[in-house]
Amino acid sequence: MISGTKILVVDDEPQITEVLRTSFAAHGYEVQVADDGKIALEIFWRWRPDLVITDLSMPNMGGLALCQEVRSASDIPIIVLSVRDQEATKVQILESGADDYVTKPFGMDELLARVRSALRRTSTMPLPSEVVELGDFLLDAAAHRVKIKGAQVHLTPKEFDLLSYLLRHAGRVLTHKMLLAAVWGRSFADEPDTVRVLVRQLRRKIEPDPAIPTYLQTEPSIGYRFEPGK
Amino acid sequence: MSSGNKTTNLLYESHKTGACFQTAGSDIHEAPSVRFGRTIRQYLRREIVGYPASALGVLAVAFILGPSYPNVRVLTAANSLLVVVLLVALAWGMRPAFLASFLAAAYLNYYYVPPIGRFDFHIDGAEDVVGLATFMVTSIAVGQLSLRMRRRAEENRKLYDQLRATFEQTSQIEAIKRSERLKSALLDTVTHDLRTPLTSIKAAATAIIDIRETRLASPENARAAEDNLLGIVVQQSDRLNHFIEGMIELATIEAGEGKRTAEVTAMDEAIGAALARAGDVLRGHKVIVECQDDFMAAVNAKAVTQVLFSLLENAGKYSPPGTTIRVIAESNGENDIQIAVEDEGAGIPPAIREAIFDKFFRGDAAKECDAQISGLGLGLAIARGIVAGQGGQLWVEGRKRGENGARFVFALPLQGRDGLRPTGAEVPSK
Repeated sequence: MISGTKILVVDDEPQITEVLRTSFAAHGYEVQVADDGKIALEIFWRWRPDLVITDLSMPNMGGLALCQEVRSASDIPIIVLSVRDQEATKVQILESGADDYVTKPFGMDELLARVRSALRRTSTMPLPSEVVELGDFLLDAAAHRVKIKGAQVHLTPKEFDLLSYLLRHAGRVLTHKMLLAAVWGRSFADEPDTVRVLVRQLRRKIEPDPAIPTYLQTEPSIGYRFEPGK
Repeated sequence: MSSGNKTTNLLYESHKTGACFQTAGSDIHEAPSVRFGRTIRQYLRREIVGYPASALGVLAVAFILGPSYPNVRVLTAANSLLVVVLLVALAWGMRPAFLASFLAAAYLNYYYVPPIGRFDFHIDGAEDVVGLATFMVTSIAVGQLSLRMRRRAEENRKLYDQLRATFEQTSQIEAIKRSERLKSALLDTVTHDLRTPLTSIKAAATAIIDIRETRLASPENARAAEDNLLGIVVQQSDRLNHFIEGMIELATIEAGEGKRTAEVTAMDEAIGAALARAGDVLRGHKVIVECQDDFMAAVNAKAVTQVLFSLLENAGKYSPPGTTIRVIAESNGENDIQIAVEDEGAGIPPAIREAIFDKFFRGDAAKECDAQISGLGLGLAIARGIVAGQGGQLWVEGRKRGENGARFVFALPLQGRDGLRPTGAEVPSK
């Protein structure tokens, strides 16, 4: 599955693109690099990559603009490389369509895992079907039923909606705003508390230890990420 | 050397927030002696002082005029006393002036109103009435005037104090703001310059581990990839080290400021050393050196080479390949030598000619000009620090009219007193 998968790496630091190029190539990916958003976009149209990894701050065209351009034309996964002090931009970029982010400095193993997970998501993109089975979870929308490792769990309608959305976007970083829009249908208000309360309720029902969540993980000051387990 | 010092001092000021507003406010604070003088004046101006002063004034008149009493006419005596009343009213206001008036009237009464030589407390003579009235009117009029004046002076002083307080506050806020801005800009730069190579190193190292563990690639490919990644680790470690050395150099310059060392240096050798160091960057350029073979000067050779290297490196980086870079060394008057590096690049717009020397304003500069120039790193800040440390100046200017490019110039004073002069180059008499 891997070999022949095309990855576009965008960063204005040549030694970083070189590391990524070498490492991904060793894993059998096809790689092209660009050092700013403009060049990246040209390559995107010409080469049609399966996944884009981009830095945030670059000359000419930054990561945010690139992300919006790519997203308006395609559904391919986008992973953002960011530094810790770009929190605000991170939220913005996730909401404008990026799938995930990795904070610099990162381990290559971590980035490779994120890439694999993002690619898996697109190849097995869950259809809006009635039944979703992913990891430890089995969700039946028609019967309004949830099973974790085979054990039935009772959820309120809102909790059910949230879990359903999380399962369909497993592995992705989801901002408070995205969850708010998905579960309450509101995109205008920024009420992270509403989301937080519901997340706490849901965790109490699905997590083995709600204090140390393994499925519904917190992404500090960004939102949440759902990992359905193996 | 002031601007150079400022550049390097900023680094330190940004660490100890608040150190700079003392300097900002110091010139509006008064000297202690001035304040002491004002306190004395205020004390003497108090009304209570006016009463003994009145008595003293009248006594003084008596003391001066008394001995030649019979020959002093009443008009002279009255006028003298009037002056006393006037001065008292001017200095202490109406009430002490009243006392002076009564004393003056009593004096006139004693000496000039019969019975002469003793007090006659019946105020019925024309002289008595006119004398006392004159003194009283003078007291009131002058007293009021001086009161009004004093009030206005007081108001002015209050206004002035307010203004000064506001000004001090503003400059303090300004200083804090500037220091905050510096701190965050410094932090930005340092984190960026540290994190970028660190990111490459970590990514490369973990990629090597990953390649070994997963054994995905063919052995030769894996080997080639590992070599490539290890090369990046080494190169980026050097970059980190280079950055740290730059920071240390900056700190050393700051700490050792004022310590100037010099030896008689052949300028062409110093220039040659800098050119050799900058060789990589200058490969695509034509370099012309204008320096007399026997130009000797008593300067710090290391400093010259280091500064020149930074300037050459920038000239090489920021002017298009194939263009000419010119190094011109000459003496400048009797006490200075001057070295200029001219390039044929885009030049530095006047608006940022100061800012480029301050690494910590790089963020702002980047917004104003194109990405290339914003890449100016520690180099110029260090260079200016070195030049300032040697008592010289480093600046940038445009080239001669009609020529494109930047001209970076640094002037260094010749060290030592006796006989250390440029021997080779003729000292032009400008």
